Amino acid sequence: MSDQNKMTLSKDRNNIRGKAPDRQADGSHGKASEGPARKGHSRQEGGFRGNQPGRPGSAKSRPPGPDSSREPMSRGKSVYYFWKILKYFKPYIPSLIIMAFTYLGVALCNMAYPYLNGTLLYDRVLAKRPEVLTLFGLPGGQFVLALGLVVLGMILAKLLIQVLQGVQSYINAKIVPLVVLEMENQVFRSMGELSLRFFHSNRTGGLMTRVLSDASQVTGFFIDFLPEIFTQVPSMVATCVIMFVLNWKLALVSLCLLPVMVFLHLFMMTKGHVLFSRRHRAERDLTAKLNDNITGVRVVKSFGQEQREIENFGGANEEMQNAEVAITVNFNKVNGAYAFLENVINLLVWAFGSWLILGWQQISYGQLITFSGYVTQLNPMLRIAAQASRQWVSSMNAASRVFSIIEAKPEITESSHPVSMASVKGQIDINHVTFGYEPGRPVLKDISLHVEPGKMLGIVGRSGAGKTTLVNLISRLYEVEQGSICIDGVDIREFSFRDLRRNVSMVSQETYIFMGTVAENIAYAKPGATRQEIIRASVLASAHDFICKMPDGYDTMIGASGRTLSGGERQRISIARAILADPKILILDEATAAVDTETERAIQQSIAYLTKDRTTLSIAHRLSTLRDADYLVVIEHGRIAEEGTHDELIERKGIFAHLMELQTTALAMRGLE
Amino acid sequence: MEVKFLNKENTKVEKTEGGFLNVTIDGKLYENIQLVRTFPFTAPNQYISLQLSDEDAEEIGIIEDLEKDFSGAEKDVLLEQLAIRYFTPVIKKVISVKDQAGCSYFEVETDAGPCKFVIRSNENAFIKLTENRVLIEDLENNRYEIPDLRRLTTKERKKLDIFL
Repeated sequence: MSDQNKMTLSKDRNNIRGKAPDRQADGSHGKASEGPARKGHSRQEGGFRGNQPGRPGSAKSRPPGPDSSREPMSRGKSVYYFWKILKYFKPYIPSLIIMAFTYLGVALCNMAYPYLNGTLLYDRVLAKRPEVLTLFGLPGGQFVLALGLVVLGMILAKLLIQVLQGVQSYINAKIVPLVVLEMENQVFRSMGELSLRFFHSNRTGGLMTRVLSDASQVTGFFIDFLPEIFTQVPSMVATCVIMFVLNWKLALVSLCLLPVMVFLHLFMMTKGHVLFSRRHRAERDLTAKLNDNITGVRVVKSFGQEQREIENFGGANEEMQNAEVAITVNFNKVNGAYAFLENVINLLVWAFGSWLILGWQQISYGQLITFSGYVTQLNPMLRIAAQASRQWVSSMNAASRVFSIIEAKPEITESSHPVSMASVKGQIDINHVTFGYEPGRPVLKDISLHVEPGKMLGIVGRSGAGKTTLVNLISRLYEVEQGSICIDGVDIREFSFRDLRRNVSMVSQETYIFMGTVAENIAYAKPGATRQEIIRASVLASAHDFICKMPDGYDTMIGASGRTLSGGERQRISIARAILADPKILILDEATAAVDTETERAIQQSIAYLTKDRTTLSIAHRLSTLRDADYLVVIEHGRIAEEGTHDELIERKGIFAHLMELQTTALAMRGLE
Repeated sequence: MEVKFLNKENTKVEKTEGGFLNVTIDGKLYENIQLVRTFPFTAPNQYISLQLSDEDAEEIGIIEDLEKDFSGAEKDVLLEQLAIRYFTPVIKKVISVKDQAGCSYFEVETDAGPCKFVIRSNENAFIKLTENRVLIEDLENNRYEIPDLRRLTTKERKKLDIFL
């Protein structure tokens, strides 16, 4: 756009000037400004945008979709997550090594026990074989003493197993909470870096489950099964080798059904992912439903919809139950099949072993008992493998959701070399900005504005015209698609987040009170604020008087579990917050829309102080509140439709004058103006 | 819209015969003034708001730091007024806690003598000011303070475990 197209005002009011988009002679918009911006970005599932090359700190989005649990998980992906999760255990390697040794110790004791119980007890001691006395270094005939030593050995083996398992439990209890805590913190940290778009395109319930439940699910396999697998696999191999050494024919019989078990295992690995995905979705919906109901309890009660909500919650709860039952039923089927196969194997071993003893006298009774002991030991190992497959599926399923957030690249990123802008004058330049929430549907089209430092720009327009979107772009809560926004001539994408947030503050209609004291809420944007600063800001925001009337003053707990505040009180705390933040650029987005006229008038005094010597962008439906604005723009269908001073716009008798007339008439009818 | 800070230089404090508080600020007399702690838990003797006793409770000034800004008899009068307004017995010993029909019946020993009170058996009656400092609010909105939970015996703490 050429400079001559910029509508420069007289000295008094040329501090803020709208740069109307290029227009053709007939008043229609030029082609350049038509249609949505399509270049330079692509969108992905969940409404996230891809790379926007050539921009400092531009978005390179690879954020999670709203429902990553529906995506099929390949084996390669599972292995990738497996290594990723292992890294969380890195700080605990010494403890894990100790844990592995305990598993090894348990495995060795378990392997020794059948030998003590079978071959040594039956075939040596009870058979009164002299070599057993030589083995223990006992004099001739001392078989009772030898028996005592064998029994002592068996008791010690069992005791050692108990002690080692106790150590395992202790290490488990020490490591698990720390790993889960780190993972939950990382998910929460990563969420904080994602843009507003992410939170708008993901259900609250789903996000809550990702932080609260998925992280602990991820660690399940690694803590409960991984160390055991590391020791069980060598134990299984060692047991098999011993079995083959003892009698290869019996060993073959013992392992003949192993392929069936492996097949069952692989089958459940595939089916399990679907089942656990279904459970996650059910859990997410249930949490979302609960969150929705508790947050919206006022609306539910005021419309008498309690019964309907109970039924809705019951439905979601039933779905959760069904999903849980489906998992249990399916895995129980496999466990049942495993148990059946184990019994078949045991029977086969005993039958074939007895046949070998009776028919061929190839093995002794003690050898058969020893062999049977090893087979019995092999069964739990195989069952652990089956359970591990369930836990593996559950962990990897949760991991896919957890890492979809942890590894998400935020849509809005900070410049790698931000310009130091600790304090700005407050000049704003919006240059040909186009933006939309959905592809091909721009909300703002080629908007250009210039605001001088310390001046107030009023933004007017019907609901959905794009006013809030515009101010959200200035705060960089969303990223512009085309064009740029500059503060003091520097593109806001060059700012560090810290500097941008320090210089731009917003007071909006939706005031949010965090769980905490009044003082903590006011000092939210300046945590180190002194008590004097907090009181001063509250006095200026007309909040001090009502705060002093609370029983605990500034120490009163407010927010989710504290004292309830009225709309006006919340708004005043929000204004005090902004005063304390002391930004150079202030955005007022319908700051007084949620309060009654009397409160609005009281708050206006505070706002008048707040806006003094600050660049202010004020959005208001009540046009009378914009009388003090130095310049006004009317946004219609995403474009600047009118601009000028209050008086100019009234004289023009356009959209603004029409809206003003409607409001004045309405207020006059209510006797307010 | 500025805060008027009060100190011994610009303010005279006196207690009336009836036990009320009169304050003269820059030569202007204000009668029957009430003191309000703006930070009752975190800074009980700082930022004390002096307010008129009428319905609007208009603030006439703030004492930034009572210990520093006033001394002698005036300071004593102000502290006495605060002690009356914010009377909070300190619990020295928990004798018994019994649950019945959704309420908990406390029998305690305080710095003001033995005391029995009732609270609703929910977490809201206990206000945790810090990790170990607790306020208990009874059904009649009276408050009792446990300044340090660690100073109670293990047996006493166990009686309170359900609320903490």
